[in-house]
Amino acid sequence: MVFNTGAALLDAIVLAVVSKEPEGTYGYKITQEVRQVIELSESTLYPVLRRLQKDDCLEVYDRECAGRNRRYYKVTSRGWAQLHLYEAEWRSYADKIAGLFEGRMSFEGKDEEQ
Amino acid sequence: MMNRAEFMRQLEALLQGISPTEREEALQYYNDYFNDAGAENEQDVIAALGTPARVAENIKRDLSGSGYGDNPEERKPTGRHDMVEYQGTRAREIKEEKKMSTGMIVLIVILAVLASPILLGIGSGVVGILTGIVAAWFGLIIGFGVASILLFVILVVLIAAAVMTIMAGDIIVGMGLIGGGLLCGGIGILFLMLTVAMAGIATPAIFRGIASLCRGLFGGKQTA
Repeated sequence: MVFNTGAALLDAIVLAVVSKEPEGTYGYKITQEVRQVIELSESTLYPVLRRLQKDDCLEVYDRECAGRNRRYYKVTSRGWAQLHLYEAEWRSYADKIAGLFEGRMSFEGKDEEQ
Repeated sequence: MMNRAEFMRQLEALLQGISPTEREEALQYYNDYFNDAGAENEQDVIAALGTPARVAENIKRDLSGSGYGDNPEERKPTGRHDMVEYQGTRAREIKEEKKMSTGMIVLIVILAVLASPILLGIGSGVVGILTGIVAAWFGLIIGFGVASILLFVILVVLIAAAVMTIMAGDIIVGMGLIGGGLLCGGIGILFLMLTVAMAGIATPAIFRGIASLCRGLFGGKQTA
């Protein structure tokens, strides 16, 4: 892809992927699903998950699976709030870019919000 | 060709600089990762992850708080951690604002519904009394005015009748008619004066009084 995925967008994508599983999901699966959406080196995801966990956006728990413990990630209520914020921001962002491309953007008068 | 055990051993060695908790977390994650990928994909995973040094670098970079990501352009220390904090706070604030305003609206609606019979009664009573007073006042003015006009009309009619009677020769009746006419005219002037006084002098004075009373009330509130 020609566009870089910024840190906030990566957070948003990871939160969105994890949020699809009400019971939570695990690192390998998250990586595979994120990689279906954006190009991402496999070693990039762990720091993102770890930091989202520290920010209280994800919670972890261990569940037994095939005789061993597997770590699951689940979106917290704060994570949901953050995800909704990202979704709203993304919609407004995508809408503006699309508006520019399709020529329905008007540049008159309005000050850009910060 | 490196195998999984060698990869994990090197990674663990490279993570000696960070806290034991962070090291345990990271090692558990990559252990899980190998397990979930399956033994048959071991070499693919190692190839995809790159060298243990690169994996360790990613982990350490994020811990030092200067962003993350494999792409050097994304690694600018933009204080993105603060951004998340700020956005999280903002999200909470938005939620609280929504809660507050909904609560307030519900409260106001309940109060309005509960108080509506009383408010409606008092309100319509006050409006009714005020309307009555105003209507009575203007009714009096109009009544006096109409009465004075009628009295003047009677004056003119009686004088005309008197002139005709006198011309017909009945001077005494004519004089009586003129007297009655002048009496009516006098009362008419009295009513006219009353009308003018009420409409032209008293009404503006009352409005001025009400206006200054309102000003006084508002002024009192503002200074309080």
